[in-house]
Amino acid sequence: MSTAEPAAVTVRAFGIRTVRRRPPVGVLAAAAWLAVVALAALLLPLLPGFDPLHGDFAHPSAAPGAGHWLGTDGTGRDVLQRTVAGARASFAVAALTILVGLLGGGMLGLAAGWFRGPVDKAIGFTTDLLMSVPSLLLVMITVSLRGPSLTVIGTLIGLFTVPHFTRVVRAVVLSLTERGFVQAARMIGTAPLRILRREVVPHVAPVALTFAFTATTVAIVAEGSLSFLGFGLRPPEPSWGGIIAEGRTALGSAPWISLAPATALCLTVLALNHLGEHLRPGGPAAAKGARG
Amino acid sequence: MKRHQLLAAAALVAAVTLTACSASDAPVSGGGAGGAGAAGDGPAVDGGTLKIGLDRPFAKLDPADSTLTSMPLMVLANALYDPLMVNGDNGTVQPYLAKSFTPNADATVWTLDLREGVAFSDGKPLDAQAVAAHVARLAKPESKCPCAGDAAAIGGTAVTGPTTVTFTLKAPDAAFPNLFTRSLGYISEAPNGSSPAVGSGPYTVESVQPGVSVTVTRNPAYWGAKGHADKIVYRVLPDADSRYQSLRAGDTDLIWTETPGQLKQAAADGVRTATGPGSTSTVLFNTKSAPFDDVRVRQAVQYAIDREALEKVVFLGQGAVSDGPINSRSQYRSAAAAYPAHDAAKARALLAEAGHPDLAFDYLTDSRPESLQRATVLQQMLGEAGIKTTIKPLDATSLGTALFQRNFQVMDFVTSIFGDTDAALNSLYVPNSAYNFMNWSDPDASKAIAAGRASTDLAKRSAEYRQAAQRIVGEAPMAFLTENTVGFLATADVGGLPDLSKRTVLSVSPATLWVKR
Amino acid sequence: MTPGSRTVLRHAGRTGRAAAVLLLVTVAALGLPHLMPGSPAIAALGPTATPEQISAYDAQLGLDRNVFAATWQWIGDALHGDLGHSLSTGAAVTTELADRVPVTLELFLAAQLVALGIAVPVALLSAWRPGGSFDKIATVVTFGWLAVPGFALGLLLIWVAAVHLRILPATGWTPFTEDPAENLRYLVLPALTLGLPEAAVFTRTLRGQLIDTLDQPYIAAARGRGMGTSRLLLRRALRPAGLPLVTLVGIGIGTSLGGSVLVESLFAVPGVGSLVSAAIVGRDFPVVQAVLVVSAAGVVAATFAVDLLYRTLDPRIAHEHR
Repeated sequence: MSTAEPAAVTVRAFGIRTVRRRPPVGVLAAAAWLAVVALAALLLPLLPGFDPLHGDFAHPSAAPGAGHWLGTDGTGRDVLQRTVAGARASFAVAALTILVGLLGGGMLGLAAGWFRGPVDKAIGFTTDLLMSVPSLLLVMITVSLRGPSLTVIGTLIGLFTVPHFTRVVRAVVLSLTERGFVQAARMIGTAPLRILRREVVPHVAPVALTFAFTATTVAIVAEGSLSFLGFGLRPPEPSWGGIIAEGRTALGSAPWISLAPATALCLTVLALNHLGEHLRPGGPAAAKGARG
Repeated sequence: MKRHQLLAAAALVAAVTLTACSASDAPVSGGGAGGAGAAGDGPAVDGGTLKIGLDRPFAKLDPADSTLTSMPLMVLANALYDPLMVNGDNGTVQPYLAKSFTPNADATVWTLDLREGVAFSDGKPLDAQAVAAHVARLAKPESKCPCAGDAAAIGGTAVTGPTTVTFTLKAPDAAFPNLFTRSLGYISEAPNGSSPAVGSGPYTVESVQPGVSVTVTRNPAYWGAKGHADKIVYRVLPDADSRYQSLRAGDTDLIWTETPGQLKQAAADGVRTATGPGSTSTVLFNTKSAPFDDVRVRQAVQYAIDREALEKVVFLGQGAVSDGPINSRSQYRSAAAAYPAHDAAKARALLAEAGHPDLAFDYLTDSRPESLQRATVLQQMLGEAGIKTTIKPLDATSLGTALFQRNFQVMDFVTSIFGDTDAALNSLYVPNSAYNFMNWSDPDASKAIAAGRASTDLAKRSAEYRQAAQRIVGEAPMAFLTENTVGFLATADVGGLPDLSKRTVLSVSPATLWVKR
Repeated sequence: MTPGSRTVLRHAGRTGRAAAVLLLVTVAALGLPHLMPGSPAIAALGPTATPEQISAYDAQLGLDRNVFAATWQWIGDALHGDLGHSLSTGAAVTTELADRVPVTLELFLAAQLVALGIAVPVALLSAWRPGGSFDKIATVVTFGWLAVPGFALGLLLIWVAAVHLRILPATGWTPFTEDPAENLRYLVLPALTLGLPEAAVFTRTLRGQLIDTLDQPYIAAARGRGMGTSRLLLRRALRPAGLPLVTLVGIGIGTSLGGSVLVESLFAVPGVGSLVSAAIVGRDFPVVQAVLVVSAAGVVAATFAVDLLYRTLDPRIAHEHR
């Protein structure tokens, strides 16, 4: 990833490498948290008795305790189980977002940077167009007209990350094509696809992937906001924003209902930001490493 | 274009208002003891600004607007318009703008005698002519008033004196005055374009921002008891939680709520309440849509629902179970009605017998938190009886469309219409009614309803209605769930809160309220 | 080609592009009712609608023509200041927007002030000694802020400031023109809710830019002449390093409408956000369409403004084209 950036930055990126070989504690903690959430979301549902939709009507709004580690919500459903199931929804939306954003933005960015000229102009116009539309609003309208679904929400949020992916990728491709070796490869008659595969993609991938961290947080927060506004997943399916919204009226009497998913959401976004920042070529971590 | 709005903005409420057209309470009878302590109210304080939070935006300040005359907004409508009749305890109505409203022997001709000397706030006289003009305006379909259907029962209107109007009905109706507590009864002048319709109420409009707020000031020439507050600012706060926080932060003095959690929390937060059994939760079946054309399938759903558990989880023990179309506070009620007790085994047996052991359906509901919670609880209860449901939350517009187009199988239906037993029976369960959402009718039930409606004898009418109710519960075109406590929350600064606990229609005049500041 | 004519050409090209963007957004906005399953007219008017009512509805939404013809007419009307009428209140959309755009704009500007007011000093102090204890704490705090979604922050602020401390109102609005002091009281919580997360983004960006700028040769030269870090930061680095913030603020106009939907519904602020969310739920297509196009126009205008600002602020760009 260090080689993907202009020279000045590269030097600094190498700077950290020499200063710090092991990732700092914060980065390890972030990775560990994400791993815990991912594993919980994948494995806990396999356990017998995992049913985030089942309400224990005899014990609604029960405080955290032995039976329910994080308490129950107003319908007597286990908050921990719902938070874990909510992670699945959040990550599913994020995965779709990344898929659409990476594929769409990656292709457009490659094409714009590679072909330049009219192609670049046309793609620039498309991204302008996408960026001139208020994205959250458009998702709300679509959900309101067509009904809510993970696919619709994930795809649309992904669509609106396309311009950003495009810009990031295009910039890298442009800087590569300006550099000698791509031109050299062109001159000796290497097939364009081969140059793309051998020279461009390996440099683009890390940059795009680090941007994917940002896109993930965007997707998670957007899904949360949409659910909070009532345009998210269809209840009783849990999602973080949805559970927070459900627990809102009980903030005074049963704060754990909103607090558990809110904490999970914040920690996850924090972890993703931290990892993304750490992995970002020429990020502040790099600067800090070089100067501090 | 106004019509969608009816449907759009508050379709359910519309349904209710339309037919129910029955509720405004008030000014006159409103001054009972307050829910949480009228005793501590002290003497009334005049002056100041009362700030009220409304739960939904109204489209137009006009009695023809279905939202404005929905129960939560009657606290605004009552400021601007005086109803001919006003709701009292136990579902009764009393004259307000009317001096008397009397039937002939067979309840086919009703004579309205108005108070004398009443004027609209613009000074024009509110006389028999004005009443006839108002009724005629709202009866036209162009008015988009949900009450146009009610008005259709009027065969002829005759102004027989300066303050007397005679209505000749197409069919006998002993509860005819009930139609004059809301839209039809809020006598107003025809509005000019989009400006508010002028009424004779204790307050007049100072400024309006549609969908946001309306400010009213005391009507200096009001004919009755003047309002206490100089000014009332109504703000539209659709989000239930924001509304409650606004009350606690002191941005508002009084709000409408249907949220059980807030009622439960009120005492702990030092918030006063004035509530009553103003709304009923039910489940509608489309009886023309298989398999719900089979009474056994509908009964199975009835048996599968544990209403007590539902009430405890969703309404936190503050409401009551509902056992039929006659409200627990209704004057027509003598004893609790029989209602199928929760029995999952029986539900399964009925389904097996009907040939639908794997019954599955979509459950349409609005997307308010308590509705979703109710749907979730029902989903689990029905699941225990082997019935699979998919919850489909819809926005008010889509839900109203589905309701009026009968484009549903099963739908969550929360309504205030049961506050007026006559209106409820006569609109929901008779053939060819626009509000017979279940597409259901039954000769016995129709006969009992018609007989009850034609009888001016309360005992006879009660007996007929009870018979109809029994039939309705037995044939199960809808499942009754809970009678919900709804009403007003107020800060400690507010005085004059009425006792609404026996009201089936919670209509409060803001003129009776004051704010100590 | 003279530099002057090149500038004219460039502006013409940009204007054409902006117009094309707006045109396509308009087409898309007017096509929205088609997204709806079934007939929007029947859905809105109910089964009892007469054919006349249905055709009047269709004509109002332009559903009786193809979407391009409808767009043509809509644009023609819009140029005459007519954005149609709300289906729910019957009021002119132009009037509604005139009431509400200033509110949302004020909220946006206040949020930018909050964000810049926090970001500039914090970033300067961080960049003064990168890796120092202030920088470390600031980094942790800004990262923490970045992780708190707007709605959660809003809930928290209401809970603390309005309900418990009772120092600020939880909901509502008073226009500036009516009572500036009251207006400020209502402004604080929504502006903080919108501005605080942005402050974190701004701080991260500005800090990075400042540190990068301090590495530039001309700064090293100034440093060689004995200029201290704090003076360097304020006199030489802040202006060029602040440029990306201009872009961020500009882009912010595009995304702010999404944020204001949330904040305005949370705090019951009568701005464009609450108008449009109510319109979406109520299927009030003329309002939704107008808001979409107007907000796209706002984004386009902001992009222009950012470009101009860049040219005045950054001497390098100005030289290139002179």
